[in-house]
Amino acid sequence: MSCGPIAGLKLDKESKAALERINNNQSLAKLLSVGFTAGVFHSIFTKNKSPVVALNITQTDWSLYAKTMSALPKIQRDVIQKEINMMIVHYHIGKYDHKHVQFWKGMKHGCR
Amino acid sequence: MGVGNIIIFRPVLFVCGILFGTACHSDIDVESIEVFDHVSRNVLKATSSHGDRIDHCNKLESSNNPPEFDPKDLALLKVSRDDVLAAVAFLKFNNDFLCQRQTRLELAFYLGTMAALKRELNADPSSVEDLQSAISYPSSRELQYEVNYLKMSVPKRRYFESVSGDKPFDLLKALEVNNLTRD
Repeated sequence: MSCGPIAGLKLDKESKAALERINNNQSLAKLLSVGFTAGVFHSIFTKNKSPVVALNITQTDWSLYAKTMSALPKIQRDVIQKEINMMIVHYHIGKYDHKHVQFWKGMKHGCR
Repeated sequence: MGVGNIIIFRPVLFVCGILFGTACHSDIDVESIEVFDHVSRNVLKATSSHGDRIDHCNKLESSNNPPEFDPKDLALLKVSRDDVLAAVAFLKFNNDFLCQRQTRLELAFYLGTMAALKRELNADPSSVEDLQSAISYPSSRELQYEVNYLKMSVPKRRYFESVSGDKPFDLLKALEVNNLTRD
């Protein structure tokens, strides 16, 4: 979907709040991702001060870690898509707002 | 080689950054670590499963035709444009939820368990609760769509549900095919 220019769009309170929530969700996912990874490095390199002789990291542990890391962007995208859908519905119900609808449609599909 | 020189890698270490903060494990006894280890593994598994389920539901949404309500049926049931909008709004989010229900509830449960454990150990559960809230629960707006939908008569709702089914559908396509957009 290509997105045309939207002249004179002034985001209202609802849209600003939704964008704020999307921004918070992105921070949350980053935090999660960093938190998951930081846990690994924290435990291996900083937690144990004594010389490390052996690390007992199983394949299952790595596999679980990798799967979880790859799931995070999907979950994040899903939460954001839901927020965008919510706004599209909002601007269809009651007083229709064409500029806001166009803006949120662009947010939904990206402007490629 | 002493036991102290071996790092046993446990799932809890993956999540301690987000769930415990930098003082991971420092003030927690061995039994509690085992408990966290167990719950953390479940959080990781549930996160992974939920990601897979989202993929599956997205594919269903792409392949599923949007519900198209017959104008004759709508006239017969005296359904207004606002009623159709209310139905599409509710059913869109409800069908998405039905598709993700099992994995979303499972993730919510384990995140809730983790938050409760943190409270029990006097650690701040807010990061886990924020995550739980963002991922798992409907927003007040979503609940309002449900309330509005439930105000409709049973025959109307039955009709909308029979046409929509319980699979996810594309919102924009549903708005288009039912002439609800004003482009």
